[in-house]
Amino acid sequence: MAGTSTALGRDAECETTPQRTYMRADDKNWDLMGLNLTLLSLAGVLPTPNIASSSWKLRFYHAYPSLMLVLYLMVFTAQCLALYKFWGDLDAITDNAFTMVGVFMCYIQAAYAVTNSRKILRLVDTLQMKLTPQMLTLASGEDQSIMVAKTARKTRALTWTMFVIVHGMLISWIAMPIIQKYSHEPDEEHRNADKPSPYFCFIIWLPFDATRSPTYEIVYTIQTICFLMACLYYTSMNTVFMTFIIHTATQFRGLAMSLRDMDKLFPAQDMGLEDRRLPSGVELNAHFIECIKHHQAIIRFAKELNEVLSPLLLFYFFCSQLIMCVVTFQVVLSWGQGKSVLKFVLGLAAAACGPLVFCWFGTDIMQESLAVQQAAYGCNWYHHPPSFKFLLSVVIMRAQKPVHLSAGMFYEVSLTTFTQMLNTVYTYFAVLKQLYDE
Amino acid sequence: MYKFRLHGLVADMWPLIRIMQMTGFFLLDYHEDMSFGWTSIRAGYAGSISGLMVIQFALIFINLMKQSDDVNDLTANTITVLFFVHSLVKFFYFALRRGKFYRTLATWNNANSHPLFSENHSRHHATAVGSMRRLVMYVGIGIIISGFAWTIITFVGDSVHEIPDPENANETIFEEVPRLMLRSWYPWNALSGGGYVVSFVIQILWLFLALSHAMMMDTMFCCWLIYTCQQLVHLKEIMKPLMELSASLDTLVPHSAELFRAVSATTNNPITSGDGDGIRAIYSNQHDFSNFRLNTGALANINSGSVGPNGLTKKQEVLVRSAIKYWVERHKHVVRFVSNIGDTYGSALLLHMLISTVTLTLLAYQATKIEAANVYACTVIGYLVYTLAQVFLFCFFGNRLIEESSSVMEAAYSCQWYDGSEEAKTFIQIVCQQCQKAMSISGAKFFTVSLDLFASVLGAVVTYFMVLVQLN
Repeated sequence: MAGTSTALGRDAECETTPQRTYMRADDKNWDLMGLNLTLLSLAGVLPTPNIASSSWKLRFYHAYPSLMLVLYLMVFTAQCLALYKFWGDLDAITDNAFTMVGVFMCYIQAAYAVTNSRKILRLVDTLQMKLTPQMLTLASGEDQSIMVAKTARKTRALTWTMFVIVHGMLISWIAMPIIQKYSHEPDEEHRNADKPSPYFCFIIWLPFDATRSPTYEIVYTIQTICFLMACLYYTSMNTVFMTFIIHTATQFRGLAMSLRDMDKLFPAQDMGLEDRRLPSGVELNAHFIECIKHHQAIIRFAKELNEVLSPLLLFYFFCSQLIMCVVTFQVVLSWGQGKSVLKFVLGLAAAACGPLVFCWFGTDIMQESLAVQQAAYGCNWYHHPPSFKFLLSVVIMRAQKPVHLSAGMFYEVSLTTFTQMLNTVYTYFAVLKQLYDE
Repeated sequence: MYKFRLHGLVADMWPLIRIMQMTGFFLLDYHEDMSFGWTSIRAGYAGSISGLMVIQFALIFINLMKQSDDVNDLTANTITVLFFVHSLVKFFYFALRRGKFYRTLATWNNANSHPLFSENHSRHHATAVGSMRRLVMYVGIGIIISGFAWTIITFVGDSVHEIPDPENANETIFEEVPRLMLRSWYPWNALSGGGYVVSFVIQILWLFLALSHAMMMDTMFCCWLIYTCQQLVHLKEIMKPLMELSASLDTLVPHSAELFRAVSATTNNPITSGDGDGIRAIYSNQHDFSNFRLNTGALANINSGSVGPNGLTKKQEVLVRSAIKYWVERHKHVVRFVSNIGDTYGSALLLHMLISTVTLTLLAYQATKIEAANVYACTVIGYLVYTLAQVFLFCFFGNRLIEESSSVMEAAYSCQWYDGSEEAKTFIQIVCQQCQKAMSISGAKFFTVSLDLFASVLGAVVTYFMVLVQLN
């Protein structure tokens, strides 16, 4: 790279500093996913390289999610029993369904990640070791590195925000029943046996009496642990994939910037650089070919990401729609009864937030990949040799098709799909309301 | 009289063609013995089966007219009639358009081949044949299960229907109807005895034949699409070796080649020794062979010092050009095949969708009257699932075709086309331009067969259901 820059013979007033003449040693090691990987290892899904290096540490580490799974199975059975026992009571059913589907979804996400941990690590490696350095090689200034650093900061902020919000909600959810229990001691005897006990985190039913301590404390602790792990899985999984998606969009943006910078690096031929025409043409083509290789690499990365993400997203969208339907049904049930509609609206917003974020950043990828076409066309191609124009035409043809993520065969991850999902939820809400009113 | 040879698409779809011949389609070709006697026997067989189908259908229709007073009966009978109209329509559609079907089946009788890609082609051909046979098996199993389920459910519950009481106009009584699969009028007494047995036998035969007629045609369509998709996958896969092959034809020798030496991403692959005769016929001596490497990047081959400015002999150039020609001709063949399929089957799909729309609307109405999980609910849900499954079958494969054909351009872009010769780059450019628009099957230009169509049908059914529930 050093030889190339000097061979071009930059003018003194040329703005582009020869960034390509040196590469910082840490350009090769961008830490874009550190926080997410830490979260994942905390959740027990992906072991850190330190743990993975020794086999007995790894065995202990794998015992951690297995234990959680065992606890979850117990809780799941209790929830199913509750579903069966309180069958006629619509309030209890919808409440139970809400938590059941939610926790189930989180555990399935974790199981999927554990089975696909190798693919996820490969994606992290590709992004950090190959794509980002490749983009910075093509850069002619500091802009791209600044952009990558900004994106990394943004994803870290997003991860922290999600972590804090989800776990804040979790704490309020856990704390309330136990506070109620300890402040309402004497009312226990008047509890109706046909209604679920309000002193648990979420509705369960146990064949034995669990309202006296220490059984109550044990059951409550198990519930808390399950819930906590579910929230941790949810946060870690969602944030890691959101980070991937955001960085893919950034890669496309970086490529578009490099294409726009090409004009600065290779000034047009009829501007007086007569003696440098031939080598400049070849240099230009070579640089453009490097851009094309980067484009191909990003497309390949997006495809690999899609392979890992697609089934998970399909399941996630499906469960989110189910949860939204259940919450809207709860709204129907408590229509005009003075119960806090606000609580349900918040629940609906929370359930809709997850898919919304994915669809938002998925649309981002589509738009950025289309912007590559605009950037390619925006250069001074009419001054360049025919060989360049040829390469450009193929690139434009490919870049006209946006790169998009898909959830199964049914959904393309974009805001249009999100609107369709909201439509579906509203349809089911209308049907349920109709059937309930009869 | 012509010599019968089992080759091309007919050979690949042979089990399906045999089944169609056995169930009475007017598929009178593709037999060993095409003498007049045998042909007339087969035509007679097909004719008598068509007669049976039409007569029984007419009897069901007569029954519908007779029971048209009661709304429930009318709706149920209309649904049955519409359900089996598919079979009749498909049967006679085939009979009337035999020529086009034969032409589509004969499209692949003269496929080109190339020694370098024959191994890849035979692999994909075998996959296609395997998928087609598996599909036929699944559809056959589905038909048998549906037929048996229908028969079994006939014997569950009371075989009665409501009619107004002759004495008291405001009341309804239950009158017995024959315990048969389909409500049909017979000129003999079908309630018991010999008449019942005869009716039962006729109906069970008719039921299985009708189900087969409807599904076998759709299966043939889906098999064609499976074959097309595998051909497209084959074309996508040979794009990369073809580009690396033609990278050796680079006619431009740049000075600063060393700085930008392109390294091929693939590992060192030895020359495919699949069709040894074909390659060796072109290479007359070992010297030619050794100069020719499939795996290197573009510019490393330049100064190898053999005949010609680009380091390749005339024979090697011819080989590369023939590879490009093979690709283009095969792609044109695939396009021709897809247009033949659309020509042949498009109108049938249109008729199918029209009839299905009406059927699904009525089924949505019937579904609003479900109160409990009884025989009625089972039959309504069974009809719904079967009708939707029929639509899903061809929508799924139509969608696959669209996806495969639109990914050809992506495959072309993802290989190292920029290192290739001018000829190869022109080839890539034209391929990209041509494959930007996906190939799709359209239902006589009214709609495109894809999963969007299925989603809209499903959405329409749910909408009708909700509207009818509101009106109830």
